[in-house]
Amino acid sequence: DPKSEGYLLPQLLHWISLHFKDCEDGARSVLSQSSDSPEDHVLYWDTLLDFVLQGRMDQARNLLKLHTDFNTDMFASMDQLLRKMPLPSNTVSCGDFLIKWKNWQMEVVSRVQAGEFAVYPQLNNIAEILAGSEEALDGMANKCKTWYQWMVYRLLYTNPCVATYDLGVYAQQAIDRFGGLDTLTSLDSVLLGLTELDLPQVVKELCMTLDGLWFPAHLLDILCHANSLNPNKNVIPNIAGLREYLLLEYATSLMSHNSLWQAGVIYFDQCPVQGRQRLEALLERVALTSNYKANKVIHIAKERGLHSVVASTCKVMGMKALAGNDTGSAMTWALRSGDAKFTTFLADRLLAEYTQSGRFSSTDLLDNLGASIIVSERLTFLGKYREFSRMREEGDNTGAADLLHSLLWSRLAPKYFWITLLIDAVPYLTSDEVLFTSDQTYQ
Amino acid sequence: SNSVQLGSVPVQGDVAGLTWVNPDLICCSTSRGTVNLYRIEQYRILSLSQEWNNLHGEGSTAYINSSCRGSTCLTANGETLASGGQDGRLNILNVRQRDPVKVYEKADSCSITDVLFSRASDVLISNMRGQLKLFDLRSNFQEASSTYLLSSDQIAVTCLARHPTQGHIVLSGGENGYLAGWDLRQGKHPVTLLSAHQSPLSEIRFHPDQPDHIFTCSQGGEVWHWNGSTIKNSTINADNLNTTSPWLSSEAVRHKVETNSLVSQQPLPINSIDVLGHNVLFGGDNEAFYILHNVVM
Repeated sequence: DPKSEGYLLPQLLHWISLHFKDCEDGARSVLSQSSDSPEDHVLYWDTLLDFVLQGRMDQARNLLKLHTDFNTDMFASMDQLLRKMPLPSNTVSCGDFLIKWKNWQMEVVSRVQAGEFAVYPQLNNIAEILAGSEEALDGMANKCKTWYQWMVYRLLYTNPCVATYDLGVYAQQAIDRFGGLDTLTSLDSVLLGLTELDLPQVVKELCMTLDGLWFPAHLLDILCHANSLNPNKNVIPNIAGLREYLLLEYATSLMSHNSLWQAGVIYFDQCPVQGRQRLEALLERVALTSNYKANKVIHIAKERGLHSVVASTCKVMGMKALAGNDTGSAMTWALRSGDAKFTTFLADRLLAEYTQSGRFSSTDLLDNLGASIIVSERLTFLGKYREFSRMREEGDNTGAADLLHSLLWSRLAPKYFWITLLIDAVPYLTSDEVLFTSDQTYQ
Repeated sequence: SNSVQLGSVPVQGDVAGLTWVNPDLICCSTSRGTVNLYRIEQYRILSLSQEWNNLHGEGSTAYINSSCRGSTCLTANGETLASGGQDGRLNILNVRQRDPVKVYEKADSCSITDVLFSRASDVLISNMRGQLKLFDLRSNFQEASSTYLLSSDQIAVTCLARHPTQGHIVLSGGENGYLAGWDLRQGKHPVTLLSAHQSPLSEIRFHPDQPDHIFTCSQGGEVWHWNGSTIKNSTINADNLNTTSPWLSSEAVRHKVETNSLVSQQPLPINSIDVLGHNVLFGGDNEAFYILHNVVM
């Protein structure tokens, strides 16, 4: 958020308050126990302390008011201090805020030194904390579950205007206080990396500990977009490259999934540099378990202009159909892919079927080839021969004779079929009707 | 109001076709070549009542999980079921009989893409080459009684839909996104051809009570409502014989049909759609399905 550039602390405080809610439970417990002296409740002072440490002054003061001795001077004094504590806001510049805050803290220090809170050690402790006493704050470390919790509390009372680039130093100090680098958990390492703005470190840690790449990939994507929206600073160098790397890896892992592969496609679309090539390579490896799925792959490839994938998918499906003895489907796939060799191969198969059985198996295919008839010469011959065969069946002898003649003349027929053609020609030559002109017979 | 899942049952393979037979019976066909009949009890429990196996892909010499063995579509008419397969075979089943009532081994020379009952005795199938074939169940022939052709280009017909009351009026969707209107009684070619979506049509549905309205969804993630009542209101062409349905009217081609997109274009394909009253149900490859209420006709 560019507006609150200078004020990192409020966001840190908010983060801490979201994760460490014991004080709220404590407050509820204290309040629910209606008694004359709530301060005797076990959790009273701890909860009060927590609120103060988290900078939640209103809630701290509410608890304070419940104290039976609230009407005494020292309580009133404490209340006043809590009320007057300056908190960072967008309307005040960092410099102005710091002046106010220092003045306030000096006031706190003077009251402490005057011994105002000496009678009540708990109050005194709170006052010391407000004063930013390192000793008091150090004592609070035992109350904290984690180093980053303590780091933020410390910052609130010693350096509320901390800048992002200084955070790493404080983080190191906090870690040292809590056992040093050896005791770091993965989460700790990630957070440390964040405070040091060491994004590669953060990503590396996340990738090593988490099962999948979903989180780092999306995190980087959001950061990348945020970075591009921030015109003033290029806080994180090479972030686009890192983002693309993670997205590519994540998308690749999706592609092998039974049903999520289509989501993987969408992720590849978002990778401007390598997305298309990777997608092209991986799309060819999607398991084509049915026509339905193959058609989906083809549609995706067509939409993105990946014509080689379209062609190879059609070929694979054609081969599968052939393996299942479905020559008709195989031919349809072959024609879709525009593969002349495969088409020729299948046309030969159909012709072989004809010579063996005397019938065509896929007449509806052959009768309606349309423009695809030119994909392969063999297919053209096959189509024309089928036409001849049909004409013969229908008794259109003249037409059949003409067609047969042109077939012989064009030499389209494969060698193995010449005999059949010549045998077909015999009845026309020997019939009583004049079916071939003398020219044709000469040829 | 949230949808609540009432019951479920595991199925081997992909579910290719799904249909109600009656309020107590649901039927599905699978990519493994089976058709399963489930009985619903107390609207919650699904139990397998009957199973027909190996309906498709017989004689295939290839691997056991060959894609050739799958059913691609299923439809019901009363207690009669029809399953079309990737192997081009058409099986006619009856819920009361263990064996198929009728089998067309080579109903088509390539994969069947969709099937419907035009009448109780007529089954229409579409194939990946753009042909429609009508089979008369009463005859003994294994061949189609009529064949229709979309075009001479090999453009697959991807889905079929039948007019709720007039069985001879059929709409087909193609892989090129076009919608074709057919009168099965006349001619071999579509009566109307409308350019529709930019991607293959997944499913077409007539509104069961208002057949001037149809709903389509596509592989491009679109869901459309087509309002054909506006065509009816325009001047009727004197030589247009089919004034009964706007979908067969040449006016539809001349003037643009009013279409509304029911949702913004989805990133992944929408595979299936259905409509009842003012509610539209659709689902797709993002593993979710949606119900739109109060759709205005």
